[in-house]
Amino acid sequence: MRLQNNKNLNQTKKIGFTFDGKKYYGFEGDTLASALLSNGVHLFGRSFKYHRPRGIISAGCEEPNGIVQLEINEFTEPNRRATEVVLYEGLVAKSQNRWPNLNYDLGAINDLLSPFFPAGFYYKTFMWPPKFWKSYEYFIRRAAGLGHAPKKDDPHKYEHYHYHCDTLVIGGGVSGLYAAKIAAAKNLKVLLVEQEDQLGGAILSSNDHENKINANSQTEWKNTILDELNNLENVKIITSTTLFAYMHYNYLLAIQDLQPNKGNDKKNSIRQIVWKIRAKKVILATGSIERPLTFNNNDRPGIMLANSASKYLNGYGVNLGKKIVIFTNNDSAYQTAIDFHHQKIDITAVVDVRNNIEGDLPKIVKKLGIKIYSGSIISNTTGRRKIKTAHIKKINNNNVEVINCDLLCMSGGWSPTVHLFTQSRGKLKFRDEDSCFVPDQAYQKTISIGACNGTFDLKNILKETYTSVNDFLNEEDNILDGELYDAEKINIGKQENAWIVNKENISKSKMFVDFQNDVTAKDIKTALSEGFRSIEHVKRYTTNGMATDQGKTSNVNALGIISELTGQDISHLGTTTFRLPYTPVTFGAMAGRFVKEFFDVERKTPMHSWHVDNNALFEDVGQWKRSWYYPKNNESMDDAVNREVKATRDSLGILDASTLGKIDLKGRDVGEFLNRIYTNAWSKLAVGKCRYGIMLGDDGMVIDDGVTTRLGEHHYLMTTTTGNAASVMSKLEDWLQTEWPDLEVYLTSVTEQFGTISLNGPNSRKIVELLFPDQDFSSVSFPHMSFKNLEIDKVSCRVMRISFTGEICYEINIPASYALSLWNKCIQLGKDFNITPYGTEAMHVLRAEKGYIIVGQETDGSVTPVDLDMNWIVSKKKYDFIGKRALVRSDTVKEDRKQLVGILTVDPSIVLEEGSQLVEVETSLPMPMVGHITSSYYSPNLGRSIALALVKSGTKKKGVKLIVPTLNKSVEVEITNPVFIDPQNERLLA
Amino acid sequence: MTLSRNTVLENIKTEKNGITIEELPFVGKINLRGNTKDRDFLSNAGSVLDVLIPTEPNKIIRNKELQIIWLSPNEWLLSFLKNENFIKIFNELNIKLNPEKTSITDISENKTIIRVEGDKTTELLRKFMILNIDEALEDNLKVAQTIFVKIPILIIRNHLNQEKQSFDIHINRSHTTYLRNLLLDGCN
Repeated sequence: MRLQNNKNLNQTKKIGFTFDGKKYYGFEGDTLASALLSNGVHLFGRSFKYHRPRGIISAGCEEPNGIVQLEINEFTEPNRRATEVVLYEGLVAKSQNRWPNLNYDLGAINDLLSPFFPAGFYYKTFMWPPKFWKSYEYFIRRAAGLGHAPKKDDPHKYEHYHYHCDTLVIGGGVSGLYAAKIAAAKNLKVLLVEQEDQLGGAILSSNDHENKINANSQTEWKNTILDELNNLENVKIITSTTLFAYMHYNYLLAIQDLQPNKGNDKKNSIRQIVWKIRAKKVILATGSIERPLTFNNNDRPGIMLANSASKYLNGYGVNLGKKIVIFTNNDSAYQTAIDFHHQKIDITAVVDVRNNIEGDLPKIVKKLGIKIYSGSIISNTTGRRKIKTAHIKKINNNNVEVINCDLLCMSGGWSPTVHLFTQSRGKLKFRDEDSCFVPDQAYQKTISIGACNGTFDLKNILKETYTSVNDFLNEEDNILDGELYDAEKINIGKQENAWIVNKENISKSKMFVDFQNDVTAKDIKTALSEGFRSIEHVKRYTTNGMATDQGKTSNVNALGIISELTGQDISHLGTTTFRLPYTPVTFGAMAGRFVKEFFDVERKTPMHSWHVDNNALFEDVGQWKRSWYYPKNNESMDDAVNREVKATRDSLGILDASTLGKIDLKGRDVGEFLNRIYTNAWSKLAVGKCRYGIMLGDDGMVIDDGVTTRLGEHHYLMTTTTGNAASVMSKLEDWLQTEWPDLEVYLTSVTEQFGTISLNGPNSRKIVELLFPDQDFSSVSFPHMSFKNLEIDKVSCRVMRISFTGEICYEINIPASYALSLWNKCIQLGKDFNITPYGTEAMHVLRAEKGYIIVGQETDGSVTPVDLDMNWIVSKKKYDFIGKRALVRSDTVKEDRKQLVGILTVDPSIVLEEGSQLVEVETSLPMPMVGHITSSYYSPNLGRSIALALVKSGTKKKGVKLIVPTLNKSVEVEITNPVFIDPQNERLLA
Repeated sequence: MTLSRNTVLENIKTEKNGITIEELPFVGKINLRGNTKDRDFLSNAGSVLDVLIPTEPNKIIRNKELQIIWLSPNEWLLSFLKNENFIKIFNELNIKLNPEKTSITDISENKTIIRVEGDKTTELLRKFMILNIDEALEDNLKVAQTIFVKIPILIIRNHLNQEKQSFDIHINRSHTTYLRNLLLDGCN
């Protein structure tokens, strides 16, 4: 039966749901927690280690116990807080960490065996006896974790959304709504973010009889403000949105649950949005979290935080009990007693640790005739699946009064929610009078207002918000915008610390500090006695604060206990580091749309569709999809590659080379520029000629290579490797802009301006003669390493005779939109010559047969051109080039540097693994390594395996035999010349 | 077999939930480089193009023939609304500008233009772009070079304040399919 006087519910709309297989009903506006509590369900789960029966203790994201497995099959999610799940029709939830069921859980035996599972027991299993750990491991791993991950793909979609605003207000309670109104009045673009599905914050847990604002009830005030804000174009409000990360430069992340009522209605619906917010200024109005009290058996179902009980009462109309006891060390819990009174529910007693109780709220409670036990504590409770009795005793007196109790509301004070503030690198300070950490120095453009700033009473919250927000947002003037609101002053009595309620019994009692990880005060004492003093060490040793609730109700209590046990001032202990996320975030939300086909950016060449249609398999080269090989008739990869390689050398192969980087260089000083960036000389390169170049870093190591063609007097075209196109362009611009701004050189990327078709093989000439019938392609007219501007069907092409295979090769660069058509034409014309498309794998084999290097394969950032046996490419005459000085360092000229060689296995059928080590003599480990294999393939043209390697002093060791140790056997190899085919270049220059 | 041209996208125009995504194929484009402190460069380029090239950052100037877009202090993109005079202007620039001190490069095929139109286009783009669209593209005289997911793009606002939202995205040819598919996915 629901109390009619509630704030959140639409009781005309009934909602059915299931918990642990049983059907229940709630109303629109309920959370799963409030709906279950209203149905008399107080047992929500079993604790992690001891499997103790547990119920809800809070009404928000700080909830440690009420975590459930939500939904089933592909929709299932573990560890969802029932206090945050908004009820929807058909919801299915199950309790966690129990077997066979919640009421009768076999794991409860752990509670009896708890002396064997203190803090750190897990680490001690590693120590002695070490052999037994393998036996413990199976059981410990089975017991670990809460809930189950789904086993099928998540059918939902997740979104990311970038948003810019002038002012971000985090928190939609009194101070947040007020701040948003003030900011809006200044014509600022405002975003207000609220984590619950309804705005109001503490208003939702308060009654409307007291604490009026300008003589209006808080609810009336809220509704008026909201009406105003919702009609303003410069204000956006989002609810069900948790701000979970505050990063640099006022960049913040928030996660919005969309339509939680219908979240599982259909697949492919958007379930969550990550808001990526960039705010000029941030106002934190995140409220505060009530702390539990630490006393014996403080974890029974039916024991909850006092303000949360008020929220269930006032917000959700849930009558939580009939024999209600309140246990507190401060004034705020008295409001709960008053709230129950307004709902005509009796309070059995208020137990207050303080002897002197002076505030206005206790006075009201006293006038209501509610019994108050001052200077007293709750020393114990009973009741396995729900609290049955509370044991009250005076401090320093052993007499105990046992009273019946079915609801115990506790309050140990309040902790301002400072997590986001500290994520933003703000510093905290400890305020003794309220026993809490409050914001001190902000690092970014942010302020904290209201309870998260340690301002707890309504009158001061309103005043602080008005002055602080105006001051913070004003740039050039001191205008105070927004209406001034006021509330009645309430005198608040001094709070008294009670970090450990009955300290003398700490070793014999179960006083829970971290409810979710089952960490007790005794565990903290054990950690201290074992030498862990820093709060970070105590945290990790005991696991306090390391559960899914991230210690929201336990961190400060743990600090207080350490302070009390060690005698250290709590302000000197500091806090553990609050890291993002503030609350757990789904992997789906982090991934957003970037899953499956969108996981990574893909780049495709103009001929991509042809490759797909012809069964190509693709290899990722950076973001590019390059055709890897083209299997026919169910060929294996090896068979396909061998066929492609053989066909190219025998007749004609065609390769899509469009991905290679192309940089257009123009200007008076391009020749000089090329001289500086390449190791060889460029000044005398004639128009129409091509030259191969190697680029070094400042350290003398090879970073890229490519062919550059002189297209005109002041016009060149440079090619780079596919993977380095962007980085080379960036480096060149860097040098031009920062080192040589006097050079008249302009660089323009034209990588995608052209599609590039590479025709290789002895019959490549025949194809180009068919394509360009008016052009003489003889070696005299069109020699190797030259270029011509030609036309085909009135479309201009650049044709280069350059080769990466060692065969005659013509590379045709045609405007990209024509490339597919030209490719098709080549295929058509090449049929008589067995034209064979080949991919990157065959390309690797062909170039390796010829001893051509690939930067990144034969080089690894520690290889010079001399190491590559390319001394011929290093100019001895040029005054300077990048890397020149480094080539004469003692390390780069020493005798035993690794040098490029060819490797032939003695058994020609063995293909070595790339990366294999080379040794001279096989000894016991460790064997001194003299080199490694950089490339290794089967060569169908040679009918055997070949490899390239870097070997110490390799060029002087031709003919020497080495060993490649492998797992199963040793392979004998011989060092040879790296050029395996056509060392005289007769085929190339034909 | 005569050579034919292919667009990047098989379907050059798609519509979903009120958003139209269209490839504008075969638009002539020139990358122009030169020093704005060189008066000859400014005046010669201006005389060929019939308008002074913009020197204000991220500005676009339009005439009947083309758009002239500032890309950097010494770089502009000329994007032709009609291709008829592309060759003429390209050749004239080559004749009139000093080849030692300038660069005129045909990049017509290097980038594709994707036009995105619809009342919720800005909202769609916010799913993928960090750029503060309201500030950076506050009117149709501004452009921005930015990142779309991990892809560098140039984005141009076409519409005036009360008109249907319309943006042109200049993107590497090879990235076009991925961008289009992602935009379509975002239209859900």
